[in-house]
Order: sequence, then C-alpha cells, then structure tokens
Amino acid sequence: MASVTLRGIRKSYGEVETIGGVDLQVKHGEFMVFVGPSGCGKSTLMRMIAGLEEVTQGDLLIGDRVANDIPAPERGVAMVFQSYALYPHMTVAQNMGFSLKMHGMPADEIRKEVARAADILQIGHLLERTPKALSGGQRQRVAIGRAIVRRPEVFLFDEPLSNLDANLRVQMRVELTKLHKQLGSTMVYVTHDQTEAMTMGDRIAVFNGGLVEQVGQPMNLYEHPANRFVAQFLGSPRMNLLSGALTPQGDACALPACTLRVSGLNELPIALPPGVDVSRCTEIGVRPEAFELATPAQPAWSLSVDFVERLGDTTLLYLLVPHAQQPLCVRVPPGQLSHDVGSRVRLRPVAGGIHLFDRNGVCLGRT
Amino acid sequence: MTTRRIGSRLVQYGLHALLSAFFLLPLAFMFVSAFKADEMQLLTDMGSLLAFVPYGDISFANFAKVFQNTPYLRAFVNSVGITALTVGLGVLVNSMLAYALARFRFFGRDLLLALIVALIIIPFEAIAVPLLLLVNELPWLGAEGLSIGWLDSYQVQVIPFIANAFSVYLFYQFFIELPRDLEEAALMDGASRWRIYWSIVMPLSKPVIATVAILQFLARWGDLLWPVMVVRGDTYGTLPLAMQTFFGQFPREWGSVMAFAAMATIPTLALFLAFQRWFVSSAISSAIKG
Repeated sequence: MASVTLRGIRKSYGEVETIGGVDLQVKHGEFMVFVGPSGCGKSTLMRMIAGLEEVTQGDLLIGDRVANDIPAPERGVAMVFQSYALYPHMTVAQNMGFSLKMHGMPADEIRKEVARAADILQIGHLLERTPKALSGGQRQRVAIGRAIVRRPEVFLFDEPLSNLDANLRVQMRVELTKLHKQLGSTMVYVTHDQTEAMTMGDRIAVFNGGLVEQVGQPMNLYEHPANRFVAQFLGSPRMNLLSGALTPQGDACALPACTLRVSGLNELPIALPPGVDVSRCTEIGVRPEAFELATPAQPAWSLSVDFVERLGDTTLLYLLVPHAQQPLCVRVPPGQLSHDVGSRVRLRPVAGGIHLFDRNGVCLGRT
Repeated sequence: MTTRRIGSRLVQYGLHALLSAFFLLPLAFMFVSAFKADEMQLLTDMGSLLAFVPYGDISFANFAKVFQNTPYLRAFVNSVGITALTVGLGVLVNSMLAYALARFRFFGRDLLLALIVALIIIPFEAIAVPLLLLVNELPWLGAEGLSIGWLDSYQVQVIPFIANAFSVYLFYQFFIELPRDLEEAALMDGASRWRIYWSIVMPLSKPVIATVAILQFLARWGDLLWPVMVVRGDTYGTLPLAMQTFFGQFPREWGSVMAFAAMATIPTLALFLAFQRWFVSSAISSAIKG
C-alpha cells in the first residue's frame, strides 16, 4: 500500500497538450476516482501512473519513490483494463499467474497465490476455463484477480465496468467497494460515469480539458461544487442553469435578503448569502431535487409542463422557461400531483438550493 | 419456387459443375493414368473419355518404376526439408520484422514499410538473374571449411526465400489490428518485448501464421525456376526439378510420368484436405494480392 503523488504533471503529444499540469495526492489506502467526460485526460493520467505513457513534465511519486523513469512492472502497480485484456489462449489460472511466472516464482507458489486471489473473488471453479467460456462479469473478476495476485501497492482501474450490463454494473460496483475495504489497498479508478464516482470513491477528482477542476469527497463536491462544470457533471439529471441576477434589498431592519431575477420568470425574494458579493452573480444553478411546490400565498415561479418522465420512485418534470433553451428539470415524489403536459406548476427553489456562479463559472456560494 | 427461379438455379449448378470438371478432370486423368500399366492402352485412351476410366491393366507398376528409375525419394526428402525450413524460418523472421514495424517507433520506419509494400509488386523473375549472380559469390562455412558460391546446396534454396515482403505485409496488417491492451497488460505483468511477441502475440496469430505458411508452402513446393537455375544433379534437387528431368527423358513413359506427378501432388492434396478451412481463409485474406 502506497500513496500516489502527482506534482505538476504534464503530458504532450507533439504540439498537443493533453494534461496541462496536475497536482494531486492519492493517500495510502484511499479509493480515488478520476471522473470526467471523454478526452479529458483521466485515462492518460492513469496510464502515466501505470508506466504505459511517459511523463512529459512533472514528478510522479509512488510511495516516496519518484517513478517517472521506473519501468511499469517495477512500479508496484497493477491495472485492470477496460477491455479486461485477458490472454485469450490461456486459462484463467494461467492468466492470473502470468505476472508471477514472469517474475520467476516457482509453480507451487504461483498456484497458491492464484488460489488465494480466486478465493477472494469466488472464481475458484473457473480456473481451468479459457476467457472465451466466461461471462462478462466473470471476465471482470478474472481481470481483477490478475491484479490481486501481484499484491500491488496501487491498483488502477480503467473504466472496468463500462462493458457490463446495468444490473451487473451495480453488483460489481458494490463488490469492488467491498474488495477495497477487504484489501485496504490504494486504488485509483477512472470512469466517466458520475454514479460510479459518487458511490465508490473516498474522494473524487473531476477532470476537464486535461486539468483537475476539483478534488474532494463525493457529497462535498455535490453540495459545494467549485464551478459550473463540476456542478453540472455530478448529479443526474444535471443541475439546471439559469441566467439570473441578485439584487440586495434595502430594508435594513429585515433579515439580510435580496431579490432573484431570472429572465422571463417572477422575481423571488431569497436570503442573502453571507460573505458573497452578489453583484458578481450572473448565473444560478438549482438541482432538480432542490425545488418545492409553492402554496398560493408564497412567491413562486409558474411554469408549464413540457414533458413528464415517470421513473417509479420519482417523477421528473421538464418545465418550459421563457427565453431559456433548456427546459427546467424538476424531481418530485410520484403521486404528489397529477402533472400532465401543458398543465402549470408553481414552484420555488428550496432554501440553500441555489448555487451562484459568476461570469467565469466560478461558484460564489449557495443560498 | 417459381419456374424462373428453378431455371436460374439449374444454370447456377450447371456452371458450378462445369468449373468443377475443369479443375478435377486433369487430376482424375493423372491418377487414373498413373495406375494404367499398359503404355499402349494409355496412349490409345488419351484421345477419348476412356482416359478417365480405370480399366485394363491396373497396378502400381508405374509407381515402382518411378522409385527404380528416378531419384524420387531423394527429391521428396529435399522438397520437404527445403519447404519446411523456408516456411518455418519465414514465419519467424517475417513476423518479427512485422511486429517491429507494427509496434516500435524508430527512425525510417515508414520508409521501410513503404519499401516492403513496394517489393510485393516486383516479380521473382525480375530478380532471379541478379540473385543468381549474388548467391554465386556468397561465402559459406561448411564441413569443408570456407567456400565461395552457394550453387548446388540447400542454403541457396532456403535463405533467399525466408524473408518475404508479402508475408511481412500480411503479418503487419494482422498485428496492427491486435488489441494493444493485451500487450500492455503483459508489459505490466513484467513480460519483455520478446516474451510478449512469443507468448502473447504469436499464439494469437494462428490465422495469419496459417495463411503465410500455406502461401509460402505452395510457392516453395511447386517452384521450378530457381532450382533449375541453381541446382545441377540429383543431390539437392527438389520434386519439380526431378519431375522435369524425368519428363524430358526418352523414351517418355506417360504412365510413369503420371505416377511421378501423382506422388508429387499427393502431399499438397493431403495438406489441402487437412487444412481446407485455413486454405480458404488464406485465399480470402491474400485476395488483395490478386
């Protein structure tokens, strides 16, 4: 078990820079998730940690060793590939024992190590099969088993669940989290699926355009995104963004308050967030679940329903906002109201549910 | 089924039958004639359909004559040895070059690849004479010490044909399609490049190995031009050369000639039957060569 430290890591292919300076530390025994859209550099960074890509600039430390020039097999890392990368012509046992064989371990010990890993993953009965004769989930386990036998200091997972069907993905998500607890190893996990990131990671690093946008615990990132990108990337459905401005109210006797103005919608009085220069706010973000239906007496937005998605445990309403390109997505408990297309709904953001962004997309605070 | 469809199906089968007859009748003629011990009967039958009918004096006499009067056995062993060596070493050498081209980045790689592709279109006949002059000047360290000139030897029939541009191209095409993940996984498992090539890449390359081996086998087994140029006498002669020599002898005995031809064909035919599937796929994958 070791930490992974990235100091000013950059990666260029000729003139094109894909990683533009990443500083990050993955602590001992931590489950760190790299999440971001396709092409954001998260996989490239993982491949650099693995030793499959050279580091153009910066220091990569595994434990306290600078690993920039250490060959891949000597770094003490094991990687689980998106495609599993099982050797098709070898049995499961041979696949799992290949690395140990490469390191000159006697056959008896290889058998013991393979059996130990197979026990952990409950694949002992599959050892003599070839990958062709395995299901997707079983192949996934074998790929993990191949990493486990090496007793690496750091496990690297490159989108390992993306080839599985939805049910199996949920199951493997739980199993991988349990495995992390069982082994206590440092794990770095790359995914573009924010659900995987939220549910599995001790911490998440959100990548965008070769840079880390924010690092932190999943719920912390969800509730306090540093910027518009993180706010929109985490959460499904995405956070609603509306062009809006806040104006402080002049009544000095009342509680600190201001007026929220969104183009095409009613003005709403909201609490003034402490320590925030609300004049910089040009955009607000509200998560679909951060709305409440308003009573007739409460000031609220009245919007017409464009589309309804009934998901069973919840219902998503898509509401038309004048002058806005995207409809407003609102999550409501099922059966609360009958929401038909064309009907009108009165609602308002809950207290603390409005994220304020400046013109550069930086989050100013919540109210 | 409509009458029109039945008609078109009949025309289709008719054409298939015609094509099959076109290819099979010479083989049938060869095998039937090989067993006809009476030379006069054989010559008489040649002008009619009786040439395809095994009748009259049917025996192995012609085969016995081949063994008595020709160096068949020697030529057969030479052919097997030379072909096996060329094909075996060819698979190894050409695949190693192709692997380097497919996976390593080095100066001049693209130029080298372009040259190899360009070499495919140069026919062997065009380089046969310069190659003959070259091998005639090459040194060889043999049992008798250092000698000059490779004529009348095994190496002259093997070494010039080990490296083959088309084989390199076929391997290259296959290797660039192999998933890199497998090799990267092996690299992380601690395998060297050589180990990856030998333990991961080659076992996964059976289809292309079969294609290359079959194409090389067919080319070497049936080659006459080069053995005629570089071999004198029976010691190093291959089957096509021995057959050509036997064919040119007078009086020509057609029964024995056919027996010789049949015995030269049987190994190819047996291989074809054993690896029919591979032959077909190799024919498809090499279709681009024309």
